[in-house]
Amino acid sequence: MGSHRTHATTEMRRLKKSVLSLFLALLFSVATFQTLAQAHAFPVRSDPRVGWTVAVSPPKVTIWFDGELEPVFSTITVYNAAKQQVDKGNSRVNGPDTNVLEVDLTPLAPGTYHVYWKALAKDTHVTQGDFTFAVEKK
Amino acid sequence: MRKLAIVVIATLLGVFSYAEYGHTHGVVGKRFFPTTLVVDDPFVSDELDLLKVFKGSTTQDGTQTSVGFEFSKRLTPDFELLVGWEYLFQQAINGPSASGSGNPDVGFKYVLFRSPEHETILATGFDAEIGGIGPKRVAERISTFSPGFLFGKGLGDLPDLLKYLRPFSINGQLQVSIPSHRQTVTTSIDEDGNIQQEVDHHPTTIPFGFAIMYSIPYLQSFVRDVGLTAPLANLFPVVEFNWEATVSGPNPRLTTAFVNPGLIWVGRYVELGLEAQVPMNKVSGKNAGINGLIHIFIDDLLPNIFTWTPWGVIGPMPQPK
Repeated sequence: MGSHRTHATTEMRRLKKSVLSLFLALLFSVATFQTLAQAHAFPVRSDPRVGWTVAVSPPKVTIWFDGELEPVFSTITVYNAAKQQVDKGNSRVNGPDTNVLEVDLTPLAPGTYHVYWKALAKDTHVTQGDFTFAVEKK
Repeated sequence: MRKLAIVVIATLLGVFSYAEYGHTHGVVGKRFFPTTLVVDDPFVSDELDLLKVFKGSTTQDGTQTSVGFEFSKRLTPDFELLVGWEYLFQQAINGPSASGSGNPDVGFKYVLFRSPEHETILATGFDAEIGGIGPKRVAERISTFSPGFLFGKGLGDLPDLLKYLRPFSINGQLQVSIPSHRQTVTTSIDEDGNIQQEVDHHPTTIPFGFAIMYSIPYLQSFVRDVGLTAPLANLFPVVEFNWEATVSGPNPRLTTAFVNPGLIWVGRYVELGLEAQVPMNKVSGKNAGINGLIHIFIDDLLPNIFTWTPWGVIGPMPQPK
Protein backbone atom coordinates (compact mmCIF):
# COMPACT_ATOMS: atom_id res chain seq x y z
CA MET A 1 0.00 0.00 0.00
CA GLY A 2 2.83 2.40 0.97
CA SER A 3 4.67 1.71 -2.24
CA HIS A 4 1.49 2.27 -4.23
CA ARG A 5 0.96 5.65 -2.53
CA THR A 6 4.59 6.70 -3.10
CA HIS A 7 4.37 5.72 -6.75
CA ALA A 8 1.12 7.63 -7.20
CA THR A 9 2.52 10.72 -5.43
CA THR A 10 5.62 10.70 -7.63
CA GLU A 11 3.47 10.28 -10.72
CA MET A 12 1.25 13.14 -9.57
CA ARG A 13 4.25 15.46 -9.07
CA ARG A 14 5.64 14.53 -12.47
CA LEU A 15 2.29 15.17 -14.11
CA LYS A 16 1.83 18.48 -12.30
CA LYS A 17 5.24 19.59 -13.65
CA SER A 18 4.20 18.53 -17.13
CA VAL A 19 0.90 20.39 -16.82
CA LEU A 20 2.71 23.54 -15.65
CA SER A 21 5.12 23.33 -18.60
CA LEU A 22 2.22 22.78 -20.98
CA PHE A 23 0.33 25.73 -19.46
CA LEU A 24 3.33 28.04 -19.97
CA ALA A 25 3.96 26.80 -23.50
CA LEU A 26 0.33 27.35 -24.39
CA LEU A 27 0.26 30.86 -22.98
CA PHE A 28 3.39 31.67 -24.96
CA SER A 29 1.87 30.21 -28.13
CA VAL A 30 -1.34 32.15 -27.67
CA ALA A 31 0.53 35.41 -27.12
CA THR A 32 2.61 34.75 -30.25
CA PHE A 33 -0.34 33.77 -32.42
CA GLN A 34 -2.52 36.73 -31.52
CA THR A 35 -1.46 38.87 -34.43
CA LEU A 36 -1.79 36.14 -37.04
CA ALA A 37 -5.54 35.84 -37.31
CA GLN A 38 -8.61 37.99 -37.66
CA ALA A 39 -11.87 38.07 -35.71
CA HIS A 40 -14.97 40.21 -35.29
CA ALA A 41 -14.63 43.97 -35.07
CA PHE A 42 -15.95 45.39 -31.79
CA PRO A 43 -15.67 48.99 -30.56
CA VAL A 44 -12.78 49.97 -28.33
CA ARG A 45 -13.74 53.62 -27.75
CA SER A 46 -15.69 56.44 -29.32
CA ASP A 47 -15.89 60.23 -29.55
CA PRO A 48 -18.24 61.39 -28.06
CA ARG A 49 -17.72 58.73 -25.38
CA VAL A 50 -20.47 56.21 -24.73
CA GLY A 51 -23.04 57.62 -22.28
CA TRP A 52 -21.28 60.97 -21.79
CA THR A 53 -22.54 64.56 -22.09
CA VAL A 54 -20.55 67.00 -24.23
CA ALA A 55 -20.56 70.77 -23.80
CA VAL A 56 -20.96 71.72 -27.46
CA SER A 57 -22.31 70.03 -30.58
CA PRO A 58 -19.60 67.63 -31.87
CA PRO A 59 -18.75 67.89 -35.60
CA LYS A 60 -18.77 64.10 -36.03
CA VAL A 61 -19.10 60.74 -34.30
CA THR A 62 -15.99 58.55 -34.44
CA ILE A 63 -15.73 54.92 -33.31
CA TRP A 64 -12.42 53.06 -33.01
CA PHE A 65 -12.72 49.29 -33.55
CA ASP A 66 -10.43 46.42 -32.58
CA GLY A 67 -10.15 45.13 -36.14
CA GLU A 68 -10.11 46.24 -39.77
CA LEU A 69 -13.45 47.12 -41.38
CA GLU A 70 -14.88 46.65 -44.86
CA PRO A 71 -15.74 50.25 -45.90
CA VAL A 72 -18.79 49.51 -48.04
CA PHE A 73 -20.92 47.76 -45.42
CA SER A 74 -19.81 49.54 -42.23
CA THR A 75 -22.07 52.42 -41.21
CA ILE A 76 -23.01 54.87 -38.45
CA THR A 77 -26.33 56.65 -38.17
CA VAL A 78 -27.32 59.13 -35.48
CA TYR A 79 -30.86 60.04 -34.37
CA ASN A 80 -32.29 62.62 -31.99
CA ALA A 81 -34.93 61.95 -29.35
CA ALA A 82 -37.66 62.51 -31.97
CA LYS A 83 -36.09 59.72 -34.08
CA GLN A 84 -34.98 62.16 -36.80
CA GLN A 85 -31.66 61.41 -38.47
CA VAL A 86 -29.11 64.10 -37.59
CA ASP A 87 -25.99 62.81 -39.32
CA LYS A 88 -25.01 63.88 -42.84
CA GLY A 89 -25.35 60.35 -44.27
CA ASN A 90 -21.66 60.18 -45.12
CA SER A 91 -20.47 57.46 -42.73
CA ARG A 92 -17.11 56.15 -43.83
CA VAL A 93 -14.05 54.19 -42.84
CA ASN A 94 -11.39 56.76 -42.07
CA GLY A 95 -8.98 56.54 -45.01
CA PRO A 96 -5.76 54.75 -44.13
CA ASP A 97 -6.95 53.78 -40.65
CA THR A 98 -9.40 51.01 -41.48
CA ASN A 99 -10.15 50.42 -37.79
CA VAL A 100 -11.96 53.78 -37.54
CA LEU A 101 -15.55 54.49 -38.58
CA GLU A 102 -16.97 58.02 -38.55
CA VAL A 103 -19.87 60.19 -39.70
CA ASP A 104 -20.34 63.97 -39.88
CA LEU A 105 -23.14 65.58 -37.89
CA THR A 106 -25.43 68.50 -38.52
CA PRO A 107 -25.29 71.09 -35.69
CA LEU A 108 -26.96 69.46 -32.70
CA ALA A 109 -29.32 71.16 -30.30
CA PRO A 110 -29.06 70.29 -26.59
CA GLY A 111 -30.56 66.85 -25.97
CA THR A 112 -29.87 63.13 -26.10
CA TYR A 113 -28.73 61.39 -29.28
CA HIS A 114 -28.70 57.71 -30.22
CA VAL A 115 -25.85 56.28 -32.28
CA TYR A 116 -26.39 53.04 -34.23
CA TRP A 117 -23.37 51.35 -35.79
CA LYS A 118 -22.84 48.32 -37.96
CA ALA A 119 -19.38 46.95 -38.69
CA LEU A 120 -18.35 44.38 -41.25
CA ALA A 121 -14.93 43.01 -40.34
CA LYS A 122 -12.43 41.99 -42.98
CA ASP A 123 -13.25 38.37 -42.21
CA THR A 124 -16.95 39.16 -43.03
CA HIS A 125 -18.22 38.79 -39.47
CA VAL A 126 -20.87 41.45 -38.84
CA THR A 127 -21.28 43.19 -35.49
CA GLN A 128 -23.68 45.94 -34.54
CA GLY A 129 -24.60 48.00 -31.55
CA ASP A 130 -25.83 51.32 -30.28
CA PHE A 131 -25.18 53.88 -27.56
CA THR A 132 -26.28 57.32 -26.51
CA PHE A 133 -24.56 60.62 -25.81
CA ALA A 134 -25.98 64.01 -24.88
CA VAL A 135 -25.32 67.65 -25.75
CA GLU A 136 -25.41 69.88 -22.69
CA LYS A 137 -28.23 72.36 -22.18
CA LYS A 138 -26.99 75.95 -21.99
CA MET B 1 13.92 29.39 -12.22
CA ARG B 2 14.52 33.10 -12.74
CA LYS B 3 14.33 32.65 -16.53
CA LEU B 4 11.11 30.76 -16.08
CA ALA B 5 9.65 33.61 -14.02
CA ILE B 6 10.64 36.12 -16.71
CA VAL B 7 8.98 34.00 -19.41
CA VAL B 8 5.81 33.71 -17.31
CA ILE B 9 5.62 37.44 -16.58
CA ALA B 10 6.38 38.43 -20.19
CA THR B 11 3.78 36.02 -21.52
CA LEU B 12 1.12 37.19 -19.09
CA LEU B 13 1.87 40.81 -19.95
CA GLY B 14 1.64 39.96 -23.65
CA VAL B 15 -1.73 38.30 -23.20
CA PHE B 16 -3.27 40.88 -20.87
CA SER B 17 -2.08 43.98 -22.71
CA TYR B 18 -3.97 42.84 -25.78
CA ALA B 19 -7.20 44.78 -25.47
CA GLU B 20 -9.32 43.10 -28.11
CA TYR B 21 -11.66 40.24 -27.40
CA GLY B 22 -13.12 37.52 -29.56
CA HIS B 23 -16.77 37.24 -30.42
CA THR B 24 -17.41 34.44 -32.83
CA HIS B 25 -18.66 32.59 -29.82
CA GLY B 26 -21.51 33.21 -27.52
CA VAL B 27 -22.89 36.24 -29.37
CA VAL B 28 -26.62 36.96 -29.38
CA GLY B 29 -27.58 40.49 -30.37
CA LYS B 30 -25.07 42.89 -28.80
CA ARG B 31 -24.28 40.41 -26.02
CA PHE B 32 -21.16 38.27 -25.80
CA PHE B 33 -21.34 35.43 -23.27
CA PRO B 34 -17.94 33.98 -22.39
CA THR B 35 -17.71 30.27 -21.64
CA THR B 36 -18.46 29.62 -17.99
CA LEU B 37 -16.31 27.22 -15.99
CA VAL B 38 -18.90 25.14 -14.13
CA VAL B 39 -22.22 25.64 -15.91
CA ASP B 40 -22.21 24.76 -19.61
CA ASP B 41 -23.11 27.65 -21.94
CA PRO B 42 -25.91 27.41 -24.56
CA PHE B 43 -23.80 28.36 -27.61
CA VAL B 44 -22.45 26.16 -30.37
CA SER B 45 -18.98 27.01 -31.64
CA ASP B 46 -15.60 25.79 -32.78
CA GLU B 47 -13.73 26.03 -29.52
CA LEU B 48 -11.18 24.28 -27.41
CA ASP B 49 -11.03 24.12 -23.65
CA LEU B 50 -7.30 23.71 -23.97
CA LEU B 51 -6.72 23.09 -20.30
CA LYS B 52 -9.32 22.61 -17.59
CA VAL B 53 -7.91 22.31 -14.10
CA PHE B 54 -10.07 21.36 -11.14
CA LYS B 55 -9.22 20.70 -7.52
CA GLY B 56 -12.37 19.72 -5.67
CA SER B 57 -13.44 20.21 -2.09
CA THR B 58 -12.56 17.47 0.39
CA THR B 59 -15.66 15.32 0.92
CA GLN B 60 -16.28 12.17 2.97
CA ASP B 61 -14.88 10.21 0.00
CA GLY B 62 -11.69 12.26 -0.30
CA THR B 63 -10.38 14.80 -2.77
CA GLN B 64 -10.42 14.70 -6.56
CA THR B 65 -8.19 16.75 -8.83
CA SER B 66 -8.41 16.70 -12.61
CA VAL B 67 -6.80 18.19 -15.68
CA GLY B 68 -8.38 17.82 -19.10
CA PHE B 69 -9.63 19.34 -22.31
CA GLU B 70 -12.81 19.62 -24.34
CA PHE B 71 -13.10 20.21 -28.07
CA SER B 72 -16.28 21.30 -29.82
CA LYS B 73 -16.87 21.51 -33.58
CA ARG B 74 -19.86 22.94 -35.39
CA LEU B 75 -21.36 20.96 -38.25
CA THR B 76 -24.01 23.58 -38.94
CA PRO B 77 -24.47 27.10 -37.48
CA ASP B 78 -26.78 25.58 -34.82
CA PHE B 79 -25.32 22.12 -34.18
CA GLU B 80 -22.02 21.03 -32.67
CA LEU B 81 -20.35 17.83 -31.60
CA LEU B 82 -18.04 17.76 -28.60
CA VAL B 83 -15.55 15.44 -27.01
CA GLY B 84 -13.73 15.80 -23.70
CA TRP B 85 -11.28 13.90 -21.57
CA GLU B 86 -9.73 14.26 -18.12
CA TYR B 87 -6.82 12.85 -16.17
CA LEU B 88 -7.88 12.21 -12.59
CA PHE B 89 -6.05 12.24 -9.26
CA GLN B 90 -7.97 10.81 -6.33
CA GLN B 91 -6.92 10.94 -2.68
CA ALA B 92 -9.12 8.92 -0.32
CA ILE B 93 -9.53 10.05 3.31
CA ASN B 94 -6.93 8.08 5.27
CA GLY B 95 -6.54 5.85 2.24
CA PRO B 96 -4.47 5.37 -0.87
CA SER B 97 -4.18 7.82 -3.71
CA ALA B 98 -4.81 6.82 -7.30
CA SER B 99 -4.49 8.47 -10.66
CA GLY B 100 -5.26 7.72 -14.27
CA SER B 101 -7.24 8.79 -17.29
CA GLY B 102 -10.98 9.15 -16.84
CA ASN B 103 -13.63 8.00 -19.25
CA PRO B 104 -14.14 10.12 -22.38
CA ASP B 105 -17.18 12.38 -22.70
CA VAL B 106 -18.92 12.81 -26.03
CA GLY B 107 -22.03 14.77 -26.90
CA PHE B 108 -23.80 17.34 -29.00
CA LYS B 109 -25.57 20.66 -28.62
CA TYR B 110 -28.32 22.21 -30.75
CA VAL B 111 -29.63 25.79 -30.59
CA LEU B 112 -33.43 25.83 -30.48
CA PHE B 113 -34.13 29.56 -30.25
CA ARG B 114 -32.35 32.91 -30.54
CA SER B 115 -33.73 36.40 -29.90
CA PRO B 116 -31.05 39.01 -30.67
CA GLU B 117 -33.20 41.96 -29.53
CA HIS B 118 -33.78 40.31 -26.14
CA GLU B 119 -30.28 38.78 -25.94
CA THR B 120 -31.85 35.37 -25.33
CA ILE B 121 -30.85 31.89 -26.45
CA LEU B 122 -32.15 28.39 -25.69
CA ALA B 123 -30.41 25.14 -26.57
CA THR B 124 -30.66 21.44 -25.93
CA GLY B 125 -27.75 19.09 -25.45
CA PHE B 126 -26.74 15.54 -24.75
CA ASP B 127 -23.59 14.25 -23.04
CA ALA B 128 -22.44 10.68 -22.58
CA GLU B 129 -19.60 9.45 -20.39
CA ILE B 130 -18.47 6.22 -21.99
CA GLY B 131 -17.82 3.87 -19.09
CA GLY B 132 -15.14 1.23 -18.82
CA ILE B 133 -12.49 2.97 -20.91
CA GLY B 134 -10.43 4.56 -18.15
CA PRO B 135 -8.68 2.35 -15.57
CA LYS B 136 -10.92 0.87 -12.87
CA ARG B 137 -9.01 2.57 -10.01
CA VAL B 138 -10.31 6.03 -11.04
CA ALA B 139 -12.94 5.64 -13.76
CA GLU B 140 -16.49 4.31 -13.63
CA ARG B 141 -17.22 0.97 -15.28
CA ILE B 142 -20.68 2.15 -16.29
CA SER B 143 -21.77 4.80 -18.77
CA THR B 144 -23.86 7.86 -17.93
CA PHE B 145 -26.21 9.63 -20.34
CA SER B 146 -27.18 13.25 -19.68
CA PRO B 147 -29.78 15.03 -21.81
CA GLY B 148 -30.55 18.61 -20.86
CA PHE B 149 -31.50 22.18 -21.65
CA LEU B 150 -29.33 25.30 -21.59
CA PHE B 151 -30.26 28.98 -21.69
CA GLY B 152 -28.69 32.43 -21.77
CA LYS B 153 -30.29 35.84 -21.17
CA GLY B 154 -28.70 39.28 -21.21
CA LEU B 155 -30.39 42.16 -19.42
CA GLY B 156 -29.79 44.64 -22.26
CA ASP B 157 -33.52 45.30 -22.66
CA LEU B 158 -33.88 46.85 -19.20
CA PRO B 159 -35.24 50.44 -19.16
CA ASP B 160 -32.94 53.48 -18.98
CA LEU B 161 -33.60 53.84 -15.25
CA LEU B 162 -31.78 50.51 -14.72
CA LYS B 163 -29.17 50.95 -17.44
CA TYR B 164 -26.23 50.06 -15.18
CA LEU B 165 -27.80 46.62 -14.69
CA ARG B 166 -27.83 45.98 -18.46
CA PRO B 167 -24.31 44.47 -18.46
CA PHE B 168 -25.61 41.61 -16.28
CA SER B 169 -26.41 38.29 -17.88
CA ILE B 170 -27.45 34.87 -16.66
CA ASN B 171 -26.91 31.49 -18.24
CA GLY B 172 -27.86 28.12 -16.88
CA GLN B 173 -28.46 24.45 -17.48
CA LEU B 174 -30.69 21.63 -16.30
CA GLN B 175 -29.78 18.00 -16.98
CA VAL B 176 -30.77 14.50 -16.00
CA SER B 177 -27.86 12.08 -15.61
CA ILE B 178 -29.00 8.52 -16.15
CA PRO B 179 -26.59 5.63 -15.45
CA SER B 180 -26.53 2.62 -17.74
CA HIS B 181 -26.70 0.34 -14.64
CA ARG B 182 -28.42 1.08 -11.32
CA GLN B 183 -25.84 -0.97 -9.41
CA THR B 184 -22.75 -3.03 -9.99
CA VAL B 185 -21.61 -5.96 -7.86
CA THR B 186 -17.95 -6.83 -7.39
CA THR B 187 -17.28 -10.37 -6.14
CA SER B 188 -14.01 -11.40 -4.51
CA ILE B 189 -12.64 -14.14 -2.25
CA ASP B 190 -10.94 -13.06 0.97
CA GLU B 191 -7.95 -14.70 2.69
CA ASP B 192 -10.22 -17.16 4.53
CA GLY B 193 -11.84 -18.32 1.31
CA ASN B 194 -15.11 -16.50 1.92
CA ILE B 195 -16.92 -14.92 -0.99
CA GLN B 196 -17.22 -11.16 -0.58
CA GLN B 197 -19.64 -9.02 -2.57
CA GLU B 198 -19.40 -5.25 -2.82
CA VAL B 199 -22.41 -3.41 -4.23
CA ASP B 200 -21.95 0.03 -5.79
CA HIS B 201 -25.13 2.03 -6.36
CA HIS B 202 -25.31 4.37 -9.35
CA PRO B 203 -28.17 6.79 -8.80
CA THR B 204 -29.93 8.97 -11.34
CA THR B 205 -29.07 12.59 -10.61
CA ILE B 206 -30.26 16.02 -11.69
CA PRO B 207 -27.36 18.46 -12.14
CA PHE B 208 -28.48 22.05 -12.52
CA GLY B 209 -27.03 25.50 -12.06
CA PHE B 210 -26.71 29.03 -13.32
CA ALA B 211 -24.05 31.72 -13.72
CA ILE B 212 -24.51 35.45 -13.16
CA MET B 213 -21.90 37.73 -14.66
CA TYR B 214 -21.28 41.42 -15.25
CA SER B 215 -19.74 42.35 -18.61
CA ILE B 216 -17.29 45.26 -18.40
CA PRO B 217 -17.03 45.31 -22.25
CA TYR B 218 -20.83 45.66 -22.49
CA LEU B 219 -20.80 48.46 -19.91
CA GLN B 220 -18.17 50.41 -21.81
CA SER B 221 -19.45 49.81 -25.35
CA PHE B 222 -23.20 50.22 -24.85
CA VAL B 223 -23.98 51.88 -21.51
CA ARG B 224 -21.20 54.21 -20.37
CA ASP B 225 -17.50 54.40 -21.09
CA VAL B 226 -16.09 54.49 -17.57
CA GLY B 227 -12.52 54.80 -18.84
CA LEU B 228 -11.22 51.31 -18.06
CA THR B 229 -8.42 50.03 -20.28
CA ALA B 230 -6.86 46.59 -20.80
CA PRO B 231 -6.74 44.28 -18.98
CA LEU B 232 -9.61 45.54 -16.79
CA ALA B 233 -11.74 46.44 -19.83
CA ASN B 234 -11.95 42.75 -20.76
CA LEU B 235 -13.11 41.37 -17.43
CA PHE B 236 -16.30 39.51 -16.56
CA PRO B 237 -16.78 39.12 -12.79
CA VAL B 238 -18.88 35.97 -12.36
CA VAL B 239 -20.60 33.87 -9.71
CA GLU B 240 -21.77 30.39 -10.61
CA PHE B 241 -24.12 28.24 -8.53
CA ASN B 242 -24.44 24.51 -9.14
CA TRP B 243 -26.32 21.66 -7.54
CA GLU B 244 -26.60 17.93 -8.14
CA ALA B 245 -29.66 16.24 -6.65
CA THR B 246 -29.78 12.47 -6.29
CA VAL B 247 -33.22 11.17 -7.23
CA SER B 248 -32.76 7.40 -6.94
CA GLY B 249 -30.68 4.88 -5.02
CA PRO B 250 -30.09 4.64 -1.25
CA ASN B 251 -29.73 8.43 -0.65
CA PRO B 252 -32.39 9.99 -2.89
CA ARG B 253 -32.29 13.43 -1.22
CA LEU B 254 -28.55 13.86 -1.25
CA THR B 255 -27.83 17.19 -2.94
CA THR B 256 -24.41 18.71 -3.42
CA ALA B 257 -24.34 22.48 -3.76
CA PHE B 258 -21.54 24.90 -4.56
CA VAL B 259 -21.10 28.62 -5.13
CA ASN B 260 -18.20 29.50 -7.45
CA PRO B 261 -17.12 33.15 -7.46
CA GLY B 262 -14.39 34.17 -9.86
CA LEU B 263 -13.15 36.19 -12.80
CA ILE B 264 -13.17 35.58 -16.54
CA TRP B 265 -10.88 37.52 -18.86
CA VAL B 266 -11.48 37.43 -22.61
CA GLY B 267 -8.89 38.33 -25.23
CA ARG B 268 -9.26 38.14 -28.97
CA TYR B 269 -8.33 34.47 -29.28
CA VAL B 270 -8.21 33.24 -25.73
CA GLU B 271 -10.31 33.22 -22.59
CA LEU B 272 -8.86 32.67 -19.12
CA GLY B 273 -10.98 31.85 -16.08
CA LEU B 274 -10.36 31.24 -12.42
CA GLU B 275 -13.00 30.47 -9.79
CA ALA B 276 -13.12 29.26 -6.19
CA GLN B 277 -15.46 26.34 -5.50
CA VAL B 278 -17.12 26.89 -2.12
CA PRO B 279 -19.33 24.10 -0.75
CA MET B 280 -22.77 25.23 0.47
CA ASN B 281 -23.56 22.17 2.63
CA LYS B 282 -21.80 19.36 4.50
CA VAL B 283 -22.37 16.79 1.77
CA SER B 284 -20.46 18.98 -0.69
CA GLY B 285 -17.24 19.12 1.33
CA LYS B 286 -15.50 21.06 4.02
CA ASN B 287 -13.04 23.35 2.22
CA ALA B 288 -12.85 25.40 -0.96
CA GLY B 289 -11.77 23.93 -4.27
CA ILE B 290 -10.54 25.72 -7.37
CA ASN B 291 -11.43 25.76 -11.09
CA GLY B 292 -9.18 27.08 -13.86
CA LEU B 293 -9.64 27.30 -17.62
CA ILE B 294 -7.67 28.23 -20.72
CA HIS B 295 -10.13 28.42 -23.58
CA ILE B 296 -9.18 29.04 -27.22
CA PHE B 297 -11.41 30.48 -29.97
CA ILE B 298 -9.89 28.21 -32.59
CA ASP B 299 -12.04 29.30 -35.53
CA ASP B 300 -10.76 32.86 -35.07
CA LEU B 301 -7.20 31.69 -34.55
CA LEU B 302 -7.15 29.29 -37.52
CA PRO B 303 -10.25 30.19 -39.57
CA ASN B 304 -9.27 28.31 -42.71
CA ILE B 305 -9.23 25.02 -40.80
CA PHE B 306 -11.91 25.25 -38.16
CA THR B 307 -14.74 26.88 -40.11
CA TRP B 308 -14.76 23.90 -42.48
CA THR B 309 -17.54 21.30 -42.35
CA PRO B 310 -18.56 18.51 -44.72
CA TRP B 311 -21.46 20.79 -45.76
CA GLY B 312 -19.40 23.89 -46.49
CA VAL B 313 -17.71 26.69 -44.63
CA ILE B 314 -19.46 28.21 -41.60
CA GLY B 315 -19.13 31.89 -40.92
CA PRO B 316 -16.34 33.95 -42.44
CA MET B 317 -15.39 33.36 -46.05
CA PRO B 318 -11.89 34.07 -47.37
CA GLN B 319 -11.73 37.53 -48.91
CA PRO B 320 -10.47 38.01 -52.47
CA LYS B 321 -7.04 39.63 -52.61
